[in-house]
Amino acid sequence: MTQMDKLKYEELTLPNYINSREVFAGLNVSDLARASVLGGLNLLLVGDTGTGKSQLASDIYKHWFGGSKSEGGQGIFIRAHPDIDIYNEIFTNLNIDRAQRELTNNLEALIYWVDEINRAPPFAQNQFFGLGDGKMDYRGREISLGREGYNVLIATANLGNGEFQGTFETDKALYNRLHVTLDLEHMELQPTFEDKYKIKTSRVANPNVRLSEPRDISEKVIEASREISKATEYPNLETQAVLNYLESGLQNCQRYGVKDRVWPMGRQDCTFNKSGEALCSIIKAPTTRTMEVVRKYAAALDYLAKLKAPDVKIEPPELIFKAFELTGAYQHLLNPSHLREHYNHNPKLMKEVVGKLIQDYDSQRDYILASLEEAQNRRKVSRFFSHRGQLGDYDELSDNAKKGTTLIEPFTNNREIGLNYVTELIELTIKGKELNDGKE
Amino acid sequence: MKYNPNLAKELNREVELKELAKKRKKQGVEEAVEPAISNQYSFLEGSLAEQVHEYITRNYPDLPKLSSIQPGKGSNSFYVTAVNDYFRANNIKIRTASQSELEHIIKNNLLKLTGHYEDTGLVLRSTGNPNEYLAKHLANQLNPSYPLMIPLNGLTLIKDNRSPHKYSFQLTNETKLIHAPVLNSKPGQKFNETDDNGLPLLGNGTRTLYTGSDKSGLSRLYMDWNLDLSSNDENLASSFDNGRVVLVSPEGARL
Repeated sequence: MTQMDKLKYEELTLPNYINSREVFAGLNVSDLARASVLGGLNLLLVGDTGTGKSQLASDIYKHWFGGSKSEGGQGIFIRAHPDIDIYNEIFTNLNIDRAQRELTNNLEALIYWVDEINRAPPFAQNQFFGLGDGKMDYRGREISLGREGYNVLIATANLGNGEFQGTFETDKALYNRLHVTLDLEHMELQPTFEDKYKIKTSRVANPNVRLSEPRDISEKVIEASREISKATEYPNLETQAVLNYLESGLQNCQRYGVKDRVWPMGRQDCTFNKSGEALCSIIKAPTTRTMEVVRKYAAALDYLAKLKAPDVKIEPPELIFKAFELTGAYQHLLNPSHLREHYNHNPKLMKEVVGKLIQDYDSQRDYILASLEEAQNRRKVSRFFSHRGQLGDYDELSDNAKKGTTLIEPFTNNREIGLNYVTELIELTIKGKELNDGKE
Repeated sequence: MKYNPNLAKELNREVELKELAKKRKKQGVEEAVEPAISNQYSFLEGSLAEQVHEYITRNYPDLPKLSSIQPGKGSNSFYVTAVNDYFRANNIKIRTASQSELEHIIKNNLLKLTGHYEDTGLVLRSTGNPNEYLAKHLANQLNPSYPLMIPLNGLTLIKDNRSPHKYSFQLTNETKLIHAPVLNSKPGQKFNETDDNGLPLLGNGTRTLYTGSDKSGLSRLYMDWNLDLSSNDENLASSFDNGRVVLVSPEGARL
C-alpha cells in the first residue's frame, strides 16, 4: 500500500459556501460541518430558503467526494418527494433478461445527499433510516453502505413554522440518525457581515446552487475518520466525567428518581420546580446513540481544531458540552413547552440550557475530578471538607477534627442534575484498577 | 477549590496539638504565653489572591467587570463582596476591611493606602436611581432610615437574572447598617477626623468627602488614592489596576 499524504486543513476547501462566523476554539460554522463529515457523522442542515444549506452540502458532495457516482464520484444525490422509493430508484436496477431487480453499485457510495428531506412524508422518510444507519435490507440480508466502514448522510430541510407548503414533520427516530444539526438560520451560525460582503462582491449574481469543480479527497476523509474514531478510545478522566454528567446526571428526577415517562411534568406537579426554571425540567438525558455521537463529534472537533492550528488546546468540558449543544438540539431532549416559549428555536434554547449545565458542572468539577483521580489510586473519596481554601477527604479526619469542619457530600441526587452516578463511577474505577493490577 | 490529599492529616495533626496543649495546661504544665494578637491587616495579594480570584471566577462567572480585575489588582463593590463570600464559604475568619478599619490603618500607619483605592461599602439613599433595581432589592430586606452605609463585608452576592448586574446584594446575619446623615451633606466638604464608623467629622482638614448632588439610589463607598472619601459613584462595577482589597483577620489568624 502506498503511503498517503496526511490530510491538510487547506484541502478541506468549500469553493462556494462562505461562513467564517467563529463558534469556539478557532472553529467557524463551516468547520462544524467539516468536522461532522470527517467524523462520518450524518449532518442535517436546516434553515430558511437561501441560507446556504444546499450550497454547503453541494460543495462537500462535489469538491470532497467528486460528485455523483454516475459521473465518477463517490456520491448519490436524492431529492426527496412524496412518492420517493429509494430502494427501486437508487439501489436496484431491473435486469430484464433475468426478470428481477438487482443491486447497483450505488451501495458503495460514500456520501448520500438528500435535499429537502422533509418533502417526503413520514412513512417515506422511514427509507432514510437505512442511509442514516449505513445499512440496507436486501432480501432478508443486511448490507453495509459505503466503503471501509465510512459513509455519511447529508440532509437539508426547511423546518420553518408551517410556512412551507408540501413539507412534513420529521420523525424523532430519523432525527436521532441525523447526528449533527446546524440551523443556518440561527443568528450565531449566520455568515459574518464580511462573508456576506464577499458573497455579494466577489462573484456574479446567481441565486442557484453553484456547482464546484469535482474533486475527490475521499481516501483522506476516510483516513481522518479512522483517526477520529481511534481518538474516542480510552477517554481521559475529565472526558469521562463530563460524558457521565450528561448521560446519568440529566436522567435524575428529584421527585420520581428517574425521568422515565413522567417527564416533562407541569410545574404545578413538582415541588422541586416551583419556579418552572429547574434545569431538570428543561432537558432530559440523551439516548445512548446521541451520547456516542457526542463522543465522536467532540473528537472530530478536536481533530479539526488541531488540523487548523496544531498548538490549540481545548479543555475536555468545553469540547463535550459544545458537541452536546450541536448534536442535542433536535434530539427531542428539550421540554416542548419551554421550546414553545422560545418560539421553537431549538439551538437558542439548547445553548442557554448547556450554558447552565456548564455552570452547574463547574461548581461540582473539583469534587468530581478529585474523586476520580483518587479512584485511579484505588482510594474512595466521596465526602469532603474545606479548610483554608482547599478540599480534603472528610473520612480521613479524626473525630476531634471533624467537630470543627463541615461535611460536604456532593454526590447526591437531591439536586437538579444528579451526581449519585459519581459514587458508582468511583467504585467501577477502583474495581477496574484492581482487576488490571491483578493481571499485571 | 483544589483537592489536597494530605489536608485531613494536616488538620488532624493541628487539632491533636491543640488538644495536647489544652491537656498540659489543665495539668498545670507551664505554657509559653502567646501575646494577644490584635487585628492584622494586609492587602489581598500573592497566592491567596490567586486562590480567591479563581474561586470568584468559578462561582461568579458573570460578575460585573471581572475581566478587568486580576488577582490582587482591581476592585469593585461586587468583587469585594465576593471576596468575603470566599472566606465565608471556606470557614476562614478573615474578611475585608470596613471604613473604620481603613481609618485605623491610616492612623497607625499599618499599610500604605495612598496611591490605591479601596471599596468598603454601599450607600443607600433611596429606592430610586442610580441602581434602582439593586437599591430596591436591598431596601426590601430592611427597614431603611436613609442614608444608610452598608459595609460590603457583611453582604453576600446572589445570582439574580433580573438584576442588570446579573447579581444582587443580600444581607447576612453579619450585616451592619449604619445610619449616616453625613453622606447626604453638602458635597466637597473637608475633614481629617472620623467617627467610630470611619465616617468623616466635617470641619477643617485636607481630605474631601464627595456626596454628589442627587442624593438618591445606591452608590459605591470607597476611599480614593489620596484618602478622600467618595460616596456618590453610581458605577458599582468599574475597576482599575490601582484598586486594592484590604483584608483583616479579627482573631489574629495568619493572613
